[in-house]
Amino acid sequence: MTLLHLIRRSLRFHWRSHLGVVLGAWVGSAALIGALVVGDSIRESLLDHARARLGEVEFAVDAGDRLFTTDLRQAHPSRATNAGVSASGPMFSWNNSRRSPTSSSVLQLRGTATREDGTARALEVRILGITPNFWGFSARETALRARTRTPWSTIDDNQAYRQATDVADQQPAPGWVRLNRALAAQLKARRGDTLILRFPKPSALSPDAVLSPQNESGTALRVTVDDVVDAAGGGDFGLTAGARPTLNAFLSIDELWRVSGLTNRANLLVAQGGVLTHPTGNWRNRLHLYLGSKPRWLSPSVASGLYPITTRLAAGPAPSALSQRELDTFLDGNWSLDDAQISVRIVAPQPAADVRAPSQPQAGLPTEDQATGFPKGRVEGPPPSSPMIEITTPRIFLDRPVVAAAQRTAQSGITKGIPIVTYLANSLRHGDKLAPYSMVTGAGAPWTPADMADDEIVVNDWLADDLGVKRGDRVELAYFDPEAGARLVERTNSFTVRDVVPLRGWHADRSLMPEFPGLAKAESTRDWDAGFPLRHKIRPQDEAYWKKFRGTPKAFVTSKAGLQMWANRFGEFTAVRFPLGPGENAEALREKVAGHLRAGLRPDDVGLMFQPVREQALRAATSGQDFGGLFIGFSFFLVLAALLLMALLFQFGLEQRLVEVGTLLAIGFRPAVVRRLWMGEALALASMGAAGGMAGGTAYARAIIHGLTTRWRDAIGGAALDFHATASSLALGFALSVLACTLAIFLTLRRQFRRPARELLAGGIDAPTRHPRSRALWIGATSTLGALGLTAWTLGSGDTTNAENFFSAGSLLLIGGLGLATAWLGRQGSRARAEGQLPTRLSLALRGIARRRSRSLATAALLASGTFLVTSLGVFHIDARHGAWERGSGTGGFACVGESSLPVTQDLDTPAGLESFGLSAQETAGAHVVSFRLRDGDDASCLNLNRAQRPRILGVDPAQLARRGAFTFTQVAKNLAVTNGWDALRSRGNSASTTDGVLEIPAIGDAASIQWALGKKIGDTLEMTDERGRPFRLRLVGAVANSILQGNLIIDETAFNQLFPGNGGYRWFLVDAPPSKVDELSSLLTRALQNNGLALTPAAVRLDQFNAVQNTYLSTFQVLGGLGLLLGSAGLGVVVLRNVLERRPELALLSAVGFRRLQLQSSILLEHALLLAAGLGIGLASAAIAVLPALMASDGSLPFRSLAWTLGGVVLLGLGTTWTATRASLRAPLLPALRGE
Amino acid sequence: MPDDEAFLELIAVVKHYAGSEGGAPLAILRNVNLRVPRGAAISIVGPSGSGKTTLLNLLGTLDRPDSGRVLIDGIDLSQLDEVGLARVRNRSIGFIFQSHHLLPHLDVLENILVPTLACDDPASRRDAPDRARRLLGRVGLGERLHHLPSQLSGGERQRAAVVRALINTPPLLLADEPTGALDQRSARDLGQLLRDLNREEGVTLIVVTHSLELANDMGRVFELSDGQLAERTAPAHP
Repeated sequence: MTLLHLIRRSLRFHWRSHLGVVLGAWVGSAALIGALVVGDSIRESLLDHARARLGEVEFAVDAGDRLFTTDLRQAHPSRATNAGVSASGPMFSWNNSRRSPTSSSVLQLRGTATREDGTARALEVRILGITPNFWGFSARETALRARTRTPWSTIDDNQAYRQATDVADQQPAPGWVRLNRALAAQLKARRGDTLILRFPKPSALSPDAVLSPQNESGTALRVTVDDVVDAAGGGDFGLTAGARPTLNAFLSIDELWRVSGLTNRANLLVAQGGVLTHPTGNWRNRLHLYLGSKPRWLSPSVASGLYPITTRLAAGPAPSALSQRELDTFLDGNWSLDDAQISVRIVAPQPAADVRAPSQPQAGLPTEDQATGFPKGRVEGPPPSSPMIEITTPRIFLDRPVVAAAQRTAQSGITKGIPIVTYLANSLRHGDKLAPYSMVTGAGAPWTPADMADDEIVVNDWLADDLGVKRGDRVELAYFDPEAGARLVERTNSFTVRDVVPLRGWHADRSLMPEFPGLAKAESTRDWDAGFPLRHKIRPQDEAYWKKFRGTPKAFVTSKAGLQMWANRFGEFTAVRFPLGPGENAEALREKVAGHLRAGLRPDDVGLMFQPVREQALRAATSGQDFGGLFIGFSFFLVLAALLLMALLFQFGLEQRLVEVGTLLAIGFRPAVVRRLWMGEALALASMGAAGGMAGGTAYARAIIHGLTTRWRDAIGGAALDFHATASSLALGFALSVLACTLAIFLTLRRQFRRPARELLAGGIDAPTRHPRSRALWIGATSTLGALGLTAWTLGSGDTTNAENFFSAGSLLLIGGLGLATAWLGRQGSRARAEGQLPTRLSLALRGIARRRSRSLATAALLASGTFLVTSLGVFHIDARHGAWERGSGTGGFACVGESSLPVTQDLDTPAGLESFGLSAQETAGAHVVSFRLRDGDDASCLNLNRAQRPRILGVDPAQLARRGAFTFTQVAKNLAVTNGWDALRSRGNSASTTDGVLEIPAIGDAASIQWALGKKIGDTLEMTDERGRPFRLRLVGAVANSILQGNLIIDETAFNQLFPGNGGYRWFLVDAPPSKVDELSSLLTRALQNNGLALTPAAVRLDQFNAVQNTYLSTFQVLGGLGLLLGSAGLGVVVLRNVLERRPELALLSAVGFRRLQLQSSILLEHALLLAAGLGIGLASAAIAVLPALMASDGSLPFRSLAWTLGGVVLLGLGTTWTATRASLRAPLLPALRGE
Repeated sequence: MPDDEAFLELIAVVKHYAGSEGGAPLAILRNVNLRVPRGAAISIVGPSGSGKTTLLNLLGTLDRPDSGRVLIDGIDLSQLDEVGLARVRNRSIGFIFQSHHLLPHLDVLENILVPTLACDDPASRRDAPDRARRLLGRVGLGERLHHLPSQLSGGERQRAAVVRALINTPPLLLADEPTGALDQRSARDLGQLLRDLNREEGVTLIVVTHSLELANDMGRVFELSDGQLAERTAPAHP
């Protein structure tokens, strides 16, 4: 006989009373385990989506608006790796025999898709020009390939693979498109349907540049749907995780090249890291490889079963076998200048026929130098017949690192490069004479004398003649500020004519004009597509000059003057030239310059860098909101209620068996041994409950997942979720459940075991536990006062929505209320005895409650907590429409919020900007638009379940929002002395370098986005990289209360332009409109900007979508709280039953002296109705006080109807339970109990 | 009281119970002295509420005196901690209660063996089953080894409780109203059994009882009244 035997026999004998305990443990465990499994399901679903989205893609070079050559994919080292390992074993030969992609080039554009009949339209469509091997990255391909790679793969496997690859090999032919399921669904498109795709023609020149052609901003392409690709087939491919489904349209890259006028260019390179092929992977990869070698000891069938598992493991979140450093090294060694759109060319002097005849020297000037055009001896320079080496780019402005690298080539024995900037002057004016639209170059020698001042200008003789200027005259140069983009801000500088030079030699070099897309190939000025309206008349002589000299600059200023006028976020110089040294060969120098330039640049200097996209995606999926924890929080009350109920039931069982405890103590068991005996029993019961809870928990999780994908889908932004349960979560849930249940029982046991054996032997009833009344009073009063103080402080501080304050005040009030109730009950009990009053039914009822005070209070506590939760949370439901027109509201007072698929370069807040879209000022009266630049990234709103790794960034002129007083700041960084939160964006002069040299940019975000989607707080920083791969830091300096800005971080537009010069145009808009004209203006703007894919949404509707997350979570919390309340009611029923059973002799006596059964029932009902009222009263009072700050901050309206329903339900449920329990317990004859007494 | 070796001794034992709220403490035992030689059988009688059970609890180490000393086999119980007292209860004392207090989920044999689980003497534990069978046979329960307490009569349950009290061969047997819940015949049988055990096993027997018949069957009778313990010289009468 052992203690274990005793436990086993006791469990078997007392199974009926244990059943309730096990059931309580089961409910609590199910809620706990279920919550963890919900977390599993969401996390694993996100991981599945991330894997499906990326397939086998592990790294990517996302060049944005830069177009590298498709030869760049040779920079991926896997080919070499494969070759290197192919001899290692049969595993690796499969890579050669099967189609295994290692990298693939993609031309990725953003656009819109419309059905030909116009019945459906999709915005924010990703148009992907792909090569045939792209499909090899898909999850399905990977799985099939893995299966067919096994030596024991079946004929069916190989056939399936062949079929899949046959389909995949059929690239969309010209004129055909493949859609992913989401896009097909949105367009209701099927195979054979015709669509119109509209997208911007890829251009080297930013759409923001003044000289960016307008007519080439959008291209329409008619295509027929070839097929619909599901997620496993690679249809949902994308680098970023968002809340909205990805809309993908796949075209042949040749087709996109054809319509874009490009050849051999892409802007996205996707690559695998070589996990399956690299021999030095981690244990998962090694295991995978080992199984692939078909070890003899393992039967083929077992190995076949294990192989897909290890395939998944190996392709899972393991670090890639090829590190990013290796990839970067390969990229560094294999990229070309062409990939960076840099050309190094030989520029020769103009043919003699094109050069203007020398003009007559002006009176008083010395004889000019034939080479430079300047007076002899004034300027030294290369001979005019000598060619030069020039570095240029079709992006017009050379990136600053390129210029810097070009300058460094002088260290390699090459003549120092001459940086040149050539730009368009709108006019060159002298007095009333004006020469329109002329190129002006800013450069040093030989184009300007070395000693020329920055306010001096050299003009060619054609211009001198045209304007009638001579040395010393003033010339006004008007030009568009390149930073102003489509706003077309004209500035004017005044210069003094330093020299007049003949139009020949280096001053007759038409190649100085960069290849402006709308100008360079124009045969006539009439063919110009300069991207701005020509306001000056082009005269015949201008046309003649263009025809003869094209963009040959008419004037020259110093390099510094040129920079002051035209340096901008894209760069400073349009070319760097290298004169040939004496006897130097031009081609040799070109190669030398190109070589040194290439060697002097890193690929990330020109925006080419591998990003570990798979790692980022998996991190985003796994480091997001901990839904397991969240749902444990939501289920907390349910778990607590179940544990309390379980502890109550265990205590009832224990009370019946106290004599057993006393007996064991009396016969010599040490108290610790007896406790251990009972704890063993408790542990067994808890384990049984938890084991059942594992099954119940999975069912509970399935129900929650079902709820989240149906009724509560707003909480997760409509993301698709599947059920997943990991062994670790089940084990953890089991352990936690056992621990929680055992702990609850231990606390119950501890109190009972403090009683002496003699008392226990007497049945534990001869010495009622005394609770010091003063202690309860002290706890109650202190907690209540603390809660009132906290509430007053919350009201005073204005932080009325602070959840911590709410819950703290609520908890203190509940503790306070229960403490005061305890003290009051004690007083009621003793006063009746002291004064010797005749008992009334009420006093008897109160005495009845007071007799088993712990039991009564536990029940009241359950009911009070449940009532508090269910009633108070209703107040926190947000209605976005309330006060939506106020500037301080979550809409910022804006009528609409919009986003365009294609950038809008015009300023929509100006008549001119609106006019460019065919809108008159009269039509749009009352409408004002605040435009934001947008850098695509992860949606950092609560709708995105992934943790945003690279959040979307908006750039705006903060003054526009500050002026309006838009939105309400919940917090601004303390160290900033700003009167308006938006001023914080410019608090550091836009940006500042920190001590480690990293640029730090102030950023503002929505408070919910900062806290939940980013997991940050004010003052925290986010490490980011700009479009050239340079690290910078976003410092969170302000948080806006519950707003439509969710999902984004907002920075100052100037800083945005510095960081992302390639992000041309505006894509995010806030629209002010009079309430009566919202619909009209909204449809007007949407129609006018249809080609840009503008979608406008009423701001209140958008806010409602965000609020739906919080509202749905609150509903979830309420539902689970309601379940807890249900358990509380069940607890009340159990207490009633127990009380009645214990008091059967007393009731029998009352019956014997003439009380009718109904009267007895009523007495019991009254007693427990008082308990119910106490629970509800304490819960309600606590809720009323705790929600006061939130209530006063809102419109003060309460959801009275739903509150009434909820409370009515609770009262009815409680009374019903009490009545039923009373009836059930009094059904048996009472008089035998009297005999027993 | 003979002045030979005292197995159990109470020296100036005082015990109070707290009164009702605000009231003075209630004196139950006032300067009680008692010496019981090894192998003696005594009974303690007295009216209800006189403190008989309190006295037995003090003897059985289930309670501690407010002052005075209790010695069992020369060991001063006031010097022992809870573990020490539990060991004394397990090795030196056997308890018989008015109610049998058998564990309802164990059969008779198992109930008898329960005290051995608390015993740290391996030899005693090893021999316990045989000893239990022998004792159960001795009290007429040899055929009821595997019956649950609910399947026994009141007298059988109490006999089983007696055997349980003896399983660790304690030198002291304390019985608190052992016949209180039994009919006359069963009470008589149990009384006989206790006397036999006292005589045959040499166990010191202290019985608290209202039953004068049982009290008179013991060698000496003490009466507890007004907190004072005094030996009756003549047999008690109803």
